[in-house]
Amino acid sequence: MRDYIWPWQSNVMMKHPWALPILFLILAVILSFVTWFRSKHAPQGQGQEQQ
Amino acid sequence: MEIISRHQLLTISIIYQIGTTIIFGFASGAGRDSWLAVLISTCLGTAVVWIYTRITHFNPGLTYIECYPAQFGKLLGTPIAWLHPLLFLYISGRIVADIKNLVPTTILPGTPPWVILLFFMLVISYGLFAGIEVMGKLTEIILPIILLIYLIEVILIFSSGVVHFDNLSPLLDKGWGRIWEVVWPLGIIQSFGESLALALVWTLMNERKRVGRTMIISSLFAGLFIAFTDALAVAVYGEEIFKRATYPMYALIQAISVSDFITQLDATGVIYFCFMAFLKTYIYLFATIRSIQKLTYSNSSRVFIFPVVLIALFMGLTMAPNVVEHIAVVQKVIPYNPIYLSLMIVFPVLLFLVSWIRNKSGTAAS
Repeated sequence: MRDYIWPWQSNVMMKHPWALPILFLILAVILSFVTWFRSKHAPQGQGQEQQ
Repeated sequence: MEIISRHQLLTISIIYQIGTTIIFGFASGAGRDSWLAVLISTCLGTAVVWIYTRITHFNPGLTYIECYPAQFGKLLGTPIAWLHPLLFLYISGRIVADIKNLVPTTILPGTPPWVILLFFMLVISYGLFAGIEVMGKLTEIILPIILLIYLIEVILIFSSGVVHFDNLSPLLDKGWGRIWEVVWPLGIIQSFGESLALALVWTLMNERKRVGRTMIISSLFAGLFIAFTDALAVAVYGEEIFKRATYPMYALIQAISVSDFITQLDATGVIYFCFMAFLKTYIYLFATIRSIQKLTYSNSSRVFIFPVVLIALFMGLTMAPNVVEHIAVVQKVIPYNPIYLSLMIVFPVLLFLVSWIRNKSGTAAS
């Protein structure tokens, strides 16, 4: 279980190659809530590049 | 808003795509056929880079990661978009670990790795605060210098009498199998698929219509450069030593010995490796910070610089206990990592198709 705390370490990646992708997926879903929350409060068109 | 010129994008891309392969080599698993594997990877990799450029072309006004929520919807597109900064951060940690492994064992043997990395990351932080425009100007100055040093080294290698072209033949004596093993997927992912981070820079170019052509030129140049260097390394050391060497390109510089007078030029190799690693880490961190800024709808990206740099430094320091394990991960795990494959090949192809179809139907409707 201790291995899964540091999934980017080479020995963990060799033993459990799925640990890092799973961590990334969990983080991506959690961070998506930040985007969804902030998008409701952001002014229209903010963040878009100027042409 | 910061703007970079086409020439600046070209120099950034060339240095970025050659990157750390200038020391670690590319496709060494293919032995004497490695240069051929590089050329095939270059052709396929350039096609992948072209797909990335077309995606941003079909979605004007959006950065690459914003295309996912725009085309796939917020529910599916936002998590996919967030995977990008996470991957970029992980790869920048890997490059920091490369520096940690190479520099103390070559030019600074008595210095603790954390001291080297601390200064390395401080300079990168300064560069991130200064902006991509400053980095563009720096690469315009550095690229000709690196190419000049490289040219001098090639001349010195030939002058040392260590180049044996017989080592390059017979070609394909073990068939196409080992070539395809290195081409797919590592050959395409390495250097070319990793150009994904550059997609966050493209929207800052002043002539956006010429992004595709610029990227294709840089990909072909980088591919030919790496293929030539691989062929030279095989010609000097032969297949077996080339396959087994940890730093095959670094070993190439050590082969220089002109009349026992011009020798020990290792430091030049480490210096240009450090600059390549510096720019590559810079671009990855720039892409990470820019992605986070876009996805959190923040007005400024500067607030993210120090946290992101500290995470990359921590990951680099704790990544691998030794270089053998570090390289084993690149060869055995990363090519089959679902995040790499999906973000660099599968999702871009799907995004390209969706964007193309929508663009076509939109044009037809109007």
